[in-house]
Amino acid sequence: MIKTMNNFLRKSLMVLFVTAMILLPGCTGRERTEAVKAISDAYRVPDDKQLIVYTSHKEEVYLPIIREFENRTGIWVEIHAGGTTEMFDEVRKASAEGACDIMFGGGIESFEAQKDLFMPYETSEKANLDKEYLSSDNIWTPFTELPLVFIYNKKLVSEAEAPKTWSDFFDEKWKGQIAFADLHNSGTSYTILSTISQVLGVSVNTCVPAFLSQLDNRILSSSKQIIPFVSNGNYTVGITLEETALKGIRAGYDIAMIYPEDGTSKVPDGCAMVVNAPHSYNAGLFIDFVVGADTQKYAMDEFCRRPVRNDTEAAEGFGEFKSFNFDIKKSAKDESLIFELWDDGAAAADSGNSGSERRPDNKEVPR
Amino acid sequence: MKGFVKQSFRRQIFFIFLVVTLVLVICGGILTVQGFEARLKADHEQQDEERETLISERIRHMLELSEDTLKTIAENDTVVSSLEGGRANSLVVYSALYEASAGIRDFATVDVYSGGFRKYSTGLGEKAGYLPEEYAVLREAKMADGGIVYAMDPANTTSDSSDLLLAKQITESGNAGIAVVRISSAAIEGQLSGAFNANDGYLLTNRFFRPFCTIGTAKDNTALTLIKKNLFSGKAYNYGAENNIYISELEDRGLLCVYITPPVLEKSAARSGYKIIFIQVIISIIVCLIAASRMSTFFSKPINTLSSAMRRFRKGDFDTKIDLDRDDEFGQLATGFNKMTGQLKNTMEEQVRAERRVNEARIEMMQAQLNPHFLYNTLDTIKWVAKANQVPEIATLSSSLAAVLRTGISGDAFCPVSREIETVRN
Repeated sequence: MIKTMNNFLRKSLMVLFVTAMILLPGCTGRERTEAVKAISDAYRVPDDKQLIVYTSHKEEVYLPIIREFENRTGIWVEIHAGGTTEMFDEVRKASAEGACDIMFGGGIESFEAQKDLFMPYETSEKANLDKEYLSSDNIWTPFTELPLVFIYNKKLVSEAEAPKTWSDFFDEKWKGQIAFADLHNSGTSYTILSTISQVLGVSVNTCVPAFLSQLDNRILSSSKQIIPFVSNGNYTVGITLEETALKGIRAGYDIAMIYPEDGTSKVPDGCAMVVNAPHSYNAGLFIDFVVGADTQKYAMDEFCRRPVRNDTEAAEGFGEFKSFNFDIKKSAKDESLIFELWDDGAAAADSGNSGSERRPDNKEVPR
Repeated sequence: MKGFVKQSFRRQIFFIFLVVTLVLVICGGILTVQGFEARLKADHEQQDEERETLISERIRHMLELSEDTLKTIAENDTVVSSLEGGRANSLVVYSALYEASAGIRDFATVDVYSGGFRKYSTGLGEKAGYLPEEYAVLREAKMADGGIVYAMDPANTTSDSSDLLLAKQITESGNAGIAVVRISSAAIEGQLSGAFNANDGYLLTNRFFRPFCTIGTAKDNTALTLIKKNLFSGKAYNYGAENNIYISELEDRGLLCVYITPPVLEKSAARSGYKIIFIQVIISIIVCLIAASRMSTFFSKPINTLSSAMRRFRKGDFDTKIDLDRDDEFGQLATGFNKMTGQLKNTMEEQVRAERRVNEARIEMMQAQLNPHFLYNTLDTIKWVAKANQVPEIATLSSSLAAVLRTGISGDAFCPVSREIETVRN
């Protein structure tokens, strides 16, 4: 009896299944499916038209450049954006999975420190680039040069008395008046300390504690605060990137900019092809594009970033400055020591100020 | 399991009932829910497509008005000559610009660029504007050979929005003169107000799915991320999307409308449908148990009565009768059984009676044979007494008489002639 029923059930189920298969797809609408398929086929991105970019640039910088790259080449770019440290970590993971082509942004010292993440690529524009900061092994390609400059509040400080050299910042009159961001939150702050050490020719063991002492325990949490805090008079002087200072001036902040007379570093940010890049050909095209004349001029005009090309005429606002041969390898080598000295000095300042009244600016990082 | 079920008629009925009911309930339920869902989905898709068409029409209308404006400006001698270095009164140029842009000024501004610098603008204020000449929109316009290009603003842009710039080169000599119609994402949103439901989303994008404007639920960016991920991996653009996504092209402008609507049935509604099916399954199991119990009783009771009667009958109780108050096959079977046992009983009784008669006859026969035997013994005694007393004649007479009697009571129907002659002699 069971056997008979089993046969019957099997047949019943088959009939039901076939009926469902026939009826249900008919209900879902063939026209809609075809419309979806038509668009999907038309805009499907073949492998040779893909590029995966990890970037630590701000959206206002990377987005127009990447959109222009897409329009010119027809290559679709998948963007992953974040902070420099975060992106380098992400790139390491993605590289292991073959899911990243380009790291765009971050100081070249970061690229130099994590060379194993990148593979050499010699850009077709190499002949037109500033020789001073070119990777000897083509591991990275500079995007724009970022000289360090001094700024001062032009209502509170006269041009004559504003600091002109790095050593001027160690003058007693600027004690507690220097706008400077926490080393742990600002790559620029690290470059500044490294530059001071190299320009003045003193070891970081000497210059970091001395500079910390000049800050007088008034440290900003972010480098974004430097321009507004100098402009509003909370600080009178500061050190920042030329790009940031020019943008601040364009935006109408009450600041003026001075190029250091004793020379400054102009450590560029970089761009590099990642190991295991699945679209390495397109990655090469991207690197060529970002150092191309059009993008370099655009970055200079729109973002006040100094081009790395020799053939791009400097725009209005960019002044002449004395450059010195900043030793990136030494800077990378000193990194851990600088952080150690910074933390020790900050801790000592904290203990020294224990019980004392806090500074009125509550946006400052209490140290 | 199979053996366990097979051992009981009741279990077999329960199992069959259960399987049939579950198949019907589950398959029927799923088909009902899915069919309902599919029908509803088709209806909603039709409504969505109508709304999407309406939205696209509004966008298309904006673009067509803007294109007409650009063409009008390009054909205006005053504007063109002012860009080509001719002497022109700016009031006259502005007059021409405002006249040409009358139909679009409530949602767009018209700028005229020369060498990347904005020379005239219908926008607010007189702040100088700049667009890079060798990058983005102006470059594209210069390369379009007098055609209209649709581009994003290279400045003041985010990943969610950008002003939509329509540009057309209107002069070639000297610095390229380019007329640009600028439609902000807010203006696009304003033009589309009222065309959406609160839960809908909309994106106007370029061909790389970079949005000019992001409206409503599209702002969470999940739909756009999914679309791009699917296109990168070669799947249908709406693969894995919970929402309904409709993409349409605005002809050959390189612009795409992406319309997003919530699913017809929320997941909870579909889950409720399947919950109801589950409850139906539970109820079916209970009903099957009860029905199987009743049905098995209904079937097994007469079978058990029949089986019991058969057992009694086998043991020799020929008076066994089945009393079933039913008119169906079981009732007919019981009547047949009763008839059969009655006939068998009669046959047996008749056979017993016949055998009894035979036995009686045999006894009678034996009784009949018993008297001559005693007579022979007496005649033999007479014979031997006569011989003892030496009366031979009496001995001979008694012996002959005995022979005559023996012949007479012989059971044989036939005898030889010699025996008859012997009997005569005796």
